[in-house]
Amino acid sequence: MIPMEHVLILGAALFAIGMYGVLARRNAVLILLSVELMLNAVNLNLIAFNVYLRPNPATGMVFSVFVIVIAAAEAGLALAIILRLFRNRRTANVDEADLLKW
Amino acid sequence: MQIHSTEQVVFYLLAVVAVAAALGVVFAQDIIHSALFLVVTLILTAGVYVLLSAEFLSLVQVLVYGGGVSILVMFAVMITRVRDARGPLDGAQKPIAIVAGLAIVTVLVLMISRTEWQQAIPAVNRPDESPVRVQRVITQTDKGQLMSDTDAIGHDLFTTFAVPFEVASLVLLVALVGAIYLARGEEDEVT
Repeated sequence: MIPMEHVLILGAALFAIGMYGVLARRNAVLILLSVELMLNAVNLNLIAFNVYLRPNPATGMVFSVFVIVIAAAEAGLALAIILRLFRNRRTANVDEADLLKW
Repeated sequence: MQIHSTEQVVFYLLAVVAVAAALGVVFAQDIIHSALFLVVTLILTAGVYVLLSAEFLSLVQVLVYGGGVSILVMFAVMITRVRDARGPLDGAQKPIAIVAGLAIVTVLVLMISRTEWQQAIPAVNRPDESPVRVQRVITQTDKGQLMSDTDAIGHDLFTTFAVPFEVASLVLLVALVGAIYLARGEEDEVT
């Protein structure tokens, strides 16, 4: 059996890498990829807690199914928005979409 | 650190490669490479799910991310032609992002290592007491039959979590309609 701490540390590392990506990237598609990375790290934590701490009921696993559903919906919507942004402004960089910036 | 079983060896291999691929996602200077690194990370995470005996979620992960999301991202990259976009892929706030990432990983790892998990973990799941055996997520139904994790998820999804399940399907429908509406071109627009 893998020690639970190690699974959690893997999740923490993936989450931090994803957060770095969200903060550092300026291309919207890359920010979206980093968000997927963070959601994936959260899923890993949910499943680890479910398996190790309380296997019955399978709340953590059901919750991570929902996280996957929301992540897929979010990816589809965000990519549609990026497409729209590109059509209107000819760019996919978030720092160039500054129409609302005062 | 003691290595008890092949399971652990496989886990550490998967974890190291997954973290390396995740670093590839955020540091690659080509957006296609980033997307492919993301697929690698997600599929290796599916491997970790198998080690945690969550087979159903592992398959869902491969299907949704390896299939759906990666294709979607590839299409977005292709349509927005970000490969020949001007300027670098990283913004000027990169140093702050590095500090923030290191800070959060430090805090999380400290928190994980200082918590007394042994009290919370049931005895069967402690590493010292079950060094070799794979602890499967087997739960019992009311009639006393054994269930695999797929059975458990299906059972809970349609009993305890029936309403959230329906709401999730509604969210998917709304997201689908919204995505089609947003991505659809204007009638007079030449694309």
